[in-house]
Amino acid sequence: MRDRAGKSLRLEEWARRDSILHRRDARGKILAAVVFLIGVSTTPPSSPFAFLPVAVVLACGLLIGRLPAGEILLRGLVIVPFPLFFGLVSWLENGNAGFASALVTRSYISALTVLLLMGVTPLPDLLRGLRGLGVPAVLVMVLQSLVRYLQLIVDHAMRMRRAASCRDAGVFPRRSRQSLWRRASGALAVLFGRSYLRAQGVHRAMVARGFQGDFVSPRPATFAAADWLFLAVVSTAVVLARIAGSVRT
Amino acid sequence: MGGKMKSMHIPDGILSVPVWASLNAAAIPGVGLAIHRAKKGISEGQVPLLGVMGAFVFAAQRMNFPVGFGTSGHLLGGALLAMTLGPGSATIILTSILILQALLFQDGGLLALGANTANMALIGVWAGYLPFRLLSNSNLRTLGVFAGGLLSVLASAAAAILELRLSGVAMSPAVIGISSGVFLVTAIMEGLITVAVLQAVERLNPGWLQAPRGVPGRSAGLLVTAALLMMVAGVLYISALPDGFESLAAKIGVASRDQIVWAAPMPDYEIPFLAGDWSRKAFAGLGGLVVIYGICLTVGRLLVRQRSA
Repeated sequence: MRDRAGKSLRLEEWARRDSILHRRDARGKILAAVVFLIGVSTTPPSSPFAFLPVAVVLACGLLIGRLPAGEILLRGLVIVPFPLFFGLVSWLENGNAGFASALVTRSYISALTVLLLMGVTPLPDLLRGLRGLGVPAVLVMVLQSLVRYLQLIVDHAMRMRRAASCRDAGVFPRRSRQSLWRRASGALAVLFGRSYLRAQGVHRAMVARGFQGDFVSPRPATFAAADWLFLAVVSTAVVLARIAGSVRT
Repeated sequence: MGGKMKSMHIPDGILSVPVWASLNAAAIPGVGLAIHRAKKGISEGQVPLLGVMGAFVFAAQRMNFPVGFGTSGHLLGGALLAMTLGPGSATIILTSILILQALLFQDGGLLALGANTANMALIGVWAGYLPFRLLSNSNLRTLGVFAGGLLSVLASAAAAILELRLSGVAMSPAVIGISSGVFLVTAIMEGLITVAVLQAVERLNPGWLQAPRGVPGRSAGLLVTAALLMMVAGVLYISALPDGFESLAAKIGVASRDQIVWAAPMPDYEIPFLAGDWSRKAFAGLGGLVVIYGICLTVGRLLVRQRSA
C-alpha cells in the first residue's frame, strides 16, 4: 500500500505542474482521452506499424504536458501481464500473432493515455469534471470522500497490523491455521466497525461545519474557447492518426 | 494466472468495440438504477459513509488470509458490502473503487470500465446478495453467506471470460479448465472469508447488518443458487468448446456474420476488421456512446426535476 500511495502521490505531483495541457478544462481533457482511447481501440492490427501514428500523438501529449516520459513509459508496464497472458494463450490456440501483439500494444498505449490524463489533471478537478459531464452527483461524492479518507483508513489498518504483530512478538510461531483465520477475520471486522464509526463521525463533523451535501469548488471551471480548440485539435489528430494507421504497408 | 494477475480487471485494448460499447450501455443504466435504489435506503448526508466503506475495502484487500501451500488470499468484498450495506450501496462503492483503480493505478481500463463494472459491481454484487437474502431467515443462513461470497467471484469471473471470448481471445479448453480451477479456489476463499468476517461483525454489532425483509422460502433460495451455478458452468462450458460461439450463434439463428454486431469479434476476427471499413465501426462506437450519454443525462435530469417538483 505504501508503494501504491507513492504512485498516486507522484501523479499528484505531476498534476500540480504547469503547461498548456494542465491549464485546459478537465471536461475537455476527459473527452479528449476518451476520443483517443476509442481511436486506439478501433485501430486494426493490419501491419506491425499500425499503432505508430497514435503513439506519435501520445508522445506529443507527453511532451506538451512536460511529463517525465521515461517514468510514465515504465509505469505503464504494470498492465502488460494481463494482455500478454491472454495474447499468448490466444496465439497458442489459433496462431494469430498479429492479434496477440495488438492486444499488448493497445493495452499499453491505453494505459499511457490514462497516465497522461492523470498527469496533467489534479484528481479533484477531474472528479468535478466528471460531475460536469453528467456523472450522478452521488457517485462523484462517493468518489470524493473515498479519495479523502483512503489514506486515513489504510493508515488505520497498518497501525492495527503493527499492533497485532507487536502483541504476537513471535511467541507463538506455530499458530494453527484456524487461529490465524480467526485473528485475520476479527481484525477485518474491527476495521469494518471502526471505518463505519469513523464515517459517521466524519459526517457529523462536516455537517457541524456547514456541509450541505455538496463539495464546493474554490474555483469554478469554465469551458473556454481554448478548450473547444483543444478538443478539436485532439479529435482531428486522432482521426488522422487512425487513417494513417489503417493504411496497409 | 500468476501472482501478478490476481485481479480480473480488464484493461483497455483487449475487448472488441462491440463488447466494450454494449457493456458500457448496460452498466451505465445499471449503476443509475443502483443509485436510485440506494437513495431510498440512505439519506443524502450518509454519502460520505459509502466513501469511507470504499476505503475500508481498499484496506481490507491488504489483509492476508492463509490458504495453505504457502499462499494466501484476501477479501474482494463485493458480497460482504452487499450483505452489510445493501446491494445498491455496494454497487456504488464498487463502481467508485473501479473508477479510482482505473485512474490511479491503471488497474482496469477506461473504455473497459463498463465491462468491469458489469462484472464486479453489478453481476458480482447481485450474485453475492441473492443467496444471502434468500437464505437469511432460515437455519441455512451461514450457507447463504458462503454461497454469496462464492457465487459473487464465480459469476464475475465467468462474465469476464465470456467477454474475452466474445472479443476474439481464443482459449483452449485446457486454459479455461485451469483458470476455472483458479477461480474456484479464489471463490471458495471469498466464501469462507465472507462468512468469517460477517460473523465477527455480528459479534461486534448486529446493527451493522442490513436485515432483509420479506424473505421467500428456502427452496427458492436453493433454486436461485443452483440457477446461478448452472449459469456459471454453462458459460465456462460454452467458452471451452472450440467453436462454442459460432455453434451457439448458429443455433439461435444469427449465424450470418455480416448482419450481427457480435460476429465481428469472432476468432477469425481479422477478416471483418481488416476488410470492413474502420470508420463505420469507429462512428458506430462513438455514436453509441453519445446516444447512451444523452439518454442517461435526460433521464437523470427528469428524475431530479421530478424529485424537486
